[in-house]
This record gives sequence, structure tokens and C-alpha cells, in this order.
Amino acid sequence: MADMNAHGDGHAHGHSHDGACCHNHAKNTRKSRPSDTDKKTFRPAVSGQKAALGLSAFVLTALLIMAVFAPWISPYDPVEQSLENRLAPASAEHILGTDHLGRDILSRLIWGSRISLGSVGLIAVLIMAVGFTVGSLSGYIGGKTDAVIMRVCEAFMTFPTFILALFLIGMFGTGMTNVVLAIVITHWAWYARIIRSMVLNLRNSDYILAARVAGGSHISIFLRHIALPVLSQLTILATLDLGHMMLHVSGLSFLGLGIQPPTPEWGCMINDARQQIWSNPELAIIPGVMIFLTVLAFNIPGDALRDMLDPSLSDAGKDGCC
Amino acid sequence: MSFIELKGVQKSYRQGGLLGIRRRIGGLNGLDLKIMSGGCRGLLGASGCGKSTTGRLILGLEQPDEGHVLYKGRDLRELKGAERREFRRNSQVVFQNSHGAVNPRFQAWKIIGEPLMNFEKISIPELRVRAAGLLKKVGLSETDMDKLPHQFSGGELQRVCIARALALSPEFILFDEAVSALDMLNQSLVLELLMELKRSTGTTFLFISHDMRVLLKVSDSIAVMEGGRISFYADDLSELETSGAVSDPALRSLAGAVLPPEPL
Repeated sequence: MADMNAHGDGHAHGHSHDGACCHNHAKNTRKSRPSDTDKKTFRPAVSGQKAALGLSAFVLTALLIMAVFAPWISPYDPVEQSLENRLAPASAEHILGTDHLGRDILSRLIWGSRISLGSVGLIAVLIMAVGFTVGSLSGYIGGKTDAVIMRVCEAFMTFPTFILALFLIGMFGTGMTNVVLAIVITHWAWYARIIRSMVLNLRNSDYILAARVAGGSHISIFLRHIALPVLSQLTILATLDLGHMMLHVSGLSFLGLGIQPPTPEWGCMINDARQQIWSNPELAIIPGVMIFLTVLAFNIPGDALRDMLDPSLSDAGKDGCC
Repeated sequence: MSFIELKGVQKSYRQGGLLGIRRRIGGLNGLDLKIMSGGCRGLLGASGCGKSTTGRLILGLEQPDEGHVLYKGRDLRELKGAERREFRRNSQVVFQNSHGAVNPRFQAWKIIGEPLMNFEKISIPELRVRAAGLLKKVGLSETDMDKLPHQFSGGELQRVCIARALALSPEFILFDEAVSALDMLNQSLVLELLMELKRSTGTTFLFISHDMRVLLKVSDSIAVMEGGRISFYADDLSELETSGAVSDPALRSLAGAVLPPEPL
């Protein structure tokens, strides 16, 4: 125990020292160089961000097409078994080979994108709806309503989300609907809290006072001045969180608690591949790569979306006067 | 007849939460103030004396703990329905920080049109025509109509806010430090606009400020606040300017703090 602590401290120390070092270095170079070179060093970062954004857009579009057109794209029925052809290597017939029951892996991946994207989309929409409603009520009404709602949120937040999700699935039973419900129930509190603070912040601003003096009702003030900026920030938040939600779905499926076999789902496929992990590791790696790519692609657009939705960054603000 | 009258108003704010000891801080302490229809009353005071709290009470945005805020002789709390709407329509406000007082996503015409949308059934083309007229009235051009707030300077945006306050042709407008955030040149330009508007519309103004020079320029009479109550009235300003022996200590200290007009 003591040993571990010492190690931890040493690590933390080394890290902070490194950080300070980098900081100083950056400061020095900024001071010594004229501003135009600064721009030059800045430019590749921007174009790199653009490239990443383009790539993530490409991956997401491809996934979406896969999900929507799965019945037409997939070469085989994803649940059709042929035991004489099990664990076949990649060939012209089965581009990615077959699994331990002789099912075509490519077809299963394509159909799996439907379930993965569908469940994540549904979860995101539900969490946003619940979080937005509860958080807005709490932030806008304030007072005792706010206190009660926030205590409820805190009660939900004290549990580790995954453990609570496991508990809920234990109660509701397994299956896609219950996975979605469990994840929504374990995650809405964070969203409600963040939205409450955004609404509270806006509600106390001068322009809401001005709107009240201008004779707006509470509902019209909320819709006109609060809902839009909060929703746009909420979208950014949810975009950044999509990957995390997807890992949740896949993780629960991997544990055998989510989507049940033989339904093709990526987490489920990794679970199926456990038996063959030493002889045929690609059975686990391929769906793993799909999850990895999708989570990555979900994470990138958040920042770009934030820049797009900020009114002061839309045109004049880009010159960077402040 | 008085437009707004505050009678023995007490107002304080609670500080401290669930576990800490709650203290009552600041606010108003038996304030009496009468604002007659027509003309411009100035409310002078140093920071923290309760000027802005007074403003919020007058606008009906907050309720006094004790005492009454009377609108044309009736307590604001008793006003319901149509009467309440009439009061809302008749008292408007211009705040100090113009960039904070407008929705950053609204174009100028929408900012100006908001009170109109609340009180009248009006189509968008009509609204834009009205907004254009109001923009001209405050010295801006029709072409500014589609600009977003961050595209205006502070002085221009304050004019947009003034246009919004004028939109409903209210009987009363409260200016809460409305020129304090502007530079000297813009201050005098906006003040000239306000005096012009006062002459042409006959609206009652209440001008809250810590700056004596501003109030001397625009107001007909001045009330000086200190520690949450009115400490001094000056109904005739010419008297105030000539008499060197002003007895009120709050006024004297504010007058003493005025910078000289010429740099040394």
C-alpha cells in the first residue's frame, strides 16, 4: 500500500513538473517570436482539425448508410448459420470470414451498426429530453422546486453509473429496451444539473430582466431567450457523450445483459468471440475496431459544433478582437 | 398626480445558505420617493446605496419587504390582469451594460420589436417597419436593422436599447446608469438624444446615476440617496449649482469627487 502511494506521488510529481516545463517553454517562444510566425505555427493545427472533422464526418456518414441500407448492402443473412463453414478465413465469398457458427461477419457488422447507432441515438434523445425538461424547470422556477429536484439528482449521481445500470437491468430483465432505459435513468441527472446551471446563469442576466420589463410571459421568455442557447450547448454536450453511451451499450451487451444473441450487435459479437480469442482473435478485433472508430468519430465533431453555434464566432468575432 | 410613489419601502437581501448564519444585507431602509408625471428626476448616490434596488422595485421586478410601491396611487401588488399589463406597458427601462441587456442571438429589429410582439398582434414586415422608424428616432440607420449585437459599438447598442424602451411609447422610462459605461463623447451624444426625446415625447424619465454631471445636465430635480434612504432633495437645480453651502454630506462628497472638466 505504502509502496503504491509512493509510486503514485512520484508519478504525479513528475507529471506536474513536465507540465510546468512545457508551459515555460511555450511562454518563452511566444515572447521571443514575432506574431506572424505564431500564425504559421497555428495554421497546421487548424487544418489538422479540419481533416479530422472531415474524416469523422466520412466515418459517420458511412455508418449511417450502413445502418439505413443494411438489408440491401449486407451480402448474407446475419443470423443464418452454416456449421460446416464455421471459422472460415477471409475469402471472396466471406470478405471478413465467418464466426464460430458460420455466420458472415461482414453482414453481422452491417446489421450491428443499426442496433448500435439506433440505441445510442435513442438514448441521446431521451437523455436530452429528460435532462432538458427537469433542468429547465429546476433552473427557471428556482426556490424549493429547485432544491427538491437537485437533491433527487444528487441521489442518482451518488451511484457509479455502470453499477446502477447493472442493478436496473437485474430488475427489469435483459434486452435492448431495458438497456436504453437503464442508461437513460443512470445518466439524466448529469444533464439536468448542467442544464440547470445554464438556465440559472441566463435567467439572472440583464436581458432576461429587460424581456420581463418588455412584457414577456415566463413561457415566451423561456422559449425566446433561454431554450435555444441551452439546446445548442446541450447538443454539443450530447455529441461529446455519444461515444461514452455507445461503450455503455456495447459493454452491457458484452456482459450478456444487453442485446441478446443471435441479434447482431458489436459488443455481443465480442462476447461471442471469447471462446476463440486465442485461435481466431480477429473475431473480437473486428467489432472492437468498429466500436473504436465510431466512438472516435462521435468525439470529434463536438468542438466544431460549438464554434458553429456560437453567435459571436459567426463572422466578426473571428478576427479575435478580444 | 404622482406616477410612481414609494412609501416607507424596506428591502434587504439574505446572504448565507442552509448551514451558514443568514444575514440580511444592504438594500433599502424606509425609502420615500415620489416621481411626478412629466420631467426628469435624477436619483444620485454612491455605489451600494440602493439605487438599483430602487429601480427594480419601481419596475415591479421585485417586491418590497415592507412599505408600498404605488403606481398612479395603487399598490403594484394589487394590480392584476389588464391593469398589470397597462403598468408593464407604461414603464420601461434602459440598463447600464447594453451588451448584457440584449439577447446576443437577436438582430436589432428583433430586439426593438420584442415589446411590440408582446403587446400587439403584429406581422413581421410591420414589425420591421416600426423597428426602422425607431432606429431613425435614436439616430441609427435603417440598414442597422439586421445587425447582431456584437456588430454594434457600446454607444450604438445603447441606442438600440433606448429604441426598445421607446417602442411601446411608454409614459415612463427608467435609466439605470444608462450612460455610465460609455466614453465621454458617447455620453454627451446619448444625453443630447435623451433630452431631445424628452422634449418631443413628454415621457417621464427617472435617471439613476452616480455621476453628478450627468444628472445636472438632464434632470429637473435631484434626489440624493445614502444608506438606503433619500437624504436630500433638490427641486431647483439652479439653486444647487449656485449655493456653495450644501449641507448634505452625501451630496458634498459626491460633488467633491467630480473630476475637473479640463485635464491639468
